Amino acid sequence: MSSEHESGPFGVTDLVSDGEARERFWFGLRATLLRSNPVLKTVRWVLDHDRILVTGEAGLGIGWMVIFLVAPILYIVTLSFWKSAGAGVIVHQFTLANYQAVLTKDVDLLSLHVGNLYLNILWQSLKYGFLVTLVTLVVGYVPAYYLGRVVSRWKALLLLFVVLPFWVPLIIRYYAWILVLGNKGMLPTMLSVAGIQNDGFLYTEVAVITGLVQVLLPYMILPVYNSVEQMDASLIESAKTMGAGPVRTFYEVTLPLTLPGISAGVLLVFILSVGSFMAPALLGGPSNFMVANLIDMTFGSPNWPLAGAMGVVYLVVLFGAISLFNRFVSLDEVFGE
Amino acid sequence: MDNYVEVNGVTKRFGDITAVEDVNFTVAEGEFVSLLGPSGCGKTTTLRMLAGLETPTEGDIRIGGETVTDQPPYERDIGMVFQHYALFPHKTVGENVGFPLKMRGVPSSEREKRVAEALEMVHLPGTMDRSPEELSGGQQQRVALARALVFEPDVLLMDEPLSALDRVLRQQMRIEIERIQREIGITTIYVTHDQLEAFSLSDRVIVLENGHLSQQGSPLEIYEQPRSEFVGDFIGQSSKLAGTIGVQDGESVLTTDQGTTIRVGDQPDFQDRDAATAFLRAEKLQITKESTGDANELEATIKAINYLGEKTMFFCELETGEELIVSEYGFTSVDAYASGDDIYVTVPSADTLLVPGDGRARELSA
Repeated sequence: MSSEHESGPFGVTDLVSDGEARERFWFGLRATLLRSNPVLKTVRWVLDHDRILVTGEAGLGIGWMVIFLVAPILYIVTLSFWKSAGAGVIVHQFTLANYQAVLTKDVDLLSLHVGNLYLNILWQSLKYGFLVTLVTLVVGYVPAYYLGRVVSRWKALLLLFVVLPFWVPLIIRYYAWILVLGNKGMLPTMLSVAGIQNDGFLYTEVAVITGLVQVLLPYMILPVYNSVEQMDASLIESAKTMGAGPVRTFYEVTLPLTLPGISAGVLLVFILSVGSFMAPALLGGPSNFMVANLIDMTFGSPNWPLAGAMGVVYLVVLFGAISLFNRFVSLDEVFGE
Repeated sequence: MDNYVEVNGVTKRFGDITAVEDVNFTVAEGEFVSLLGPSGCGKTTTLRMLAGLETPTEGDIRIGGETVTDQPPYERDIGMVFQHYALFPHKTVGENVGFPLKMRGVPSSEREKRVAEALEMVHLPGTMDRSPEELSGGQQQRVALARALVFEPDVLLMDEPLSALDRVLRQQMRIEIERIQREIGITTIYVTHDQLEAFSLSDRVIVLENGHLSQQGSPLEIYEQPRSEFVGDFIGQSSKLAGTIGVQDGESVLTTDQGTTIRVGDQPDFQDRDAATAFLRAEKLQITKESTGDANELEATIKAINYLGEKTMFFCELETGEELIVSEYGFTSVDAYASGDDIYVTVPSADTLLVPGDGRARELSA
């Protein structure tokens, strides 16, 4: 280096700007703190007892699961076997009445009599979940594929656009759909100008599914994008040189190789859509109830044991649906062995 | 057919970058041609245009008399071997090799027979039900070769097929490729940056420089008659002396800018006062302790000695500061020499390779 750099006592200090000096101060302070006796002693003690470290690490993970997953579920399961004495009073006495009500009785709610309300609504939720997943897959695969294959300096920006909606609170996005789909909303108005008579789409199945598709699309795009990107581009080229046109290349090479991403996306979107609460509450009408809304209402009615039983049945059915999916697509492959 | 593959004035631009510019060459039926050059010279782009994976910006490509310039790869009848094999990881070896046949609607019974034959040809019988990932790199490349040949394409294209293999395997595969190509006589275009691969495999070598075709010819022609400084530099190992042609005692000599004079033999392509660069192939120079009295002898000092087993490299410096690299094969008296020794280097005048000093390519008189 040239001689001017050697002027100060620490080599380059004289040339350092204020910002650098400040940075250096904080860096020094941090170093001093980290090297202080209490910190060093603690670290050394933990390092000397590596069994504690290992147990601690595993324990932390297990503890986390117990506190945030196992305990709440166990509470709900317990709750579902207790008696409700009406008006929100829970009697701590074992009963199967809640399950009997959920699975066999016509539930009276808001004076609606539509057979077994719970099972009907559960079935409707699964149906909506299936439709949303299907639409998201078809609509999401194209941008995911494009993002995975494109070589462009705008790619990072495009990926940002995919996750950008996450920055807008869910409720605001659904309200935005109300403005678009409502009977004096943007879409119905445009359609009537074009001569197509309609009463708007709000409070319909279409509205619920549209809202869910828009909200859940990133959960499909991102895993599919990831698996497209990991695919070696020369595989597609080699398929083409061997005589496979675009369509055959897609189903012989691209589709099977992106299956892990598709499965991950399908699973995520299906689980999230079946359990969605806000979309049917804001965009759906009384006939577009989904299971989360029903459970919420039952909790509020207030009949906690009955709501608990509804939750447990929902959990079991969803688990069954995932296992069924697992039989067709090995999830071990999706999430690694 | 002498011009089975024709590349006519082909140029490829990617935005502002010109990868290939006005390249012309033909390949005869059954011929093995290498595209040789350093990375970024346009050899892979040229191959990809032959495959249909890129479309030329200008010019046209003909295969078997048919213009294929704008044809997509799947409508051409070409087999291609990729650098990293490009085997389908979700298909078995048999399914991989059978893929081009399946795409051509060959019924599965016949397909199985032909796949077995192709695997036999690359010495991998009985691997049909294995996953490509279970095979070694060399075996994977054999599968890729079988897959590119199983449908008997018009042309075989190979893009640095050996670069992912280690040295020993590379040599084995090189011999394999040569054997198979001779056996079935398929027209082959092979891309490499490795002189050894290009020379050992090819009937003809095409050297590309910076998107341009620099020189083409048999390996012997390329090595013994480089037409430009680039080819002289890229092929083989030489010392380079730049200077001006003159006449001394009725013989052509090259006087370098530093004042060294060497006899360059009979050089009908060069006139008095022409600027020229001489390439002195390292293996053609001789090193001696005592003067041999040869008219083309230069005094030099050894700067470094590299003993490499089959040959020994001497890095020498003339008094003028110009460097000479000398390699001696089967040299056993290496201990007799040390760095700093003053020695004599003999330059056989018939073995100096001259190229024009102004950067132009030399028009070969032959």
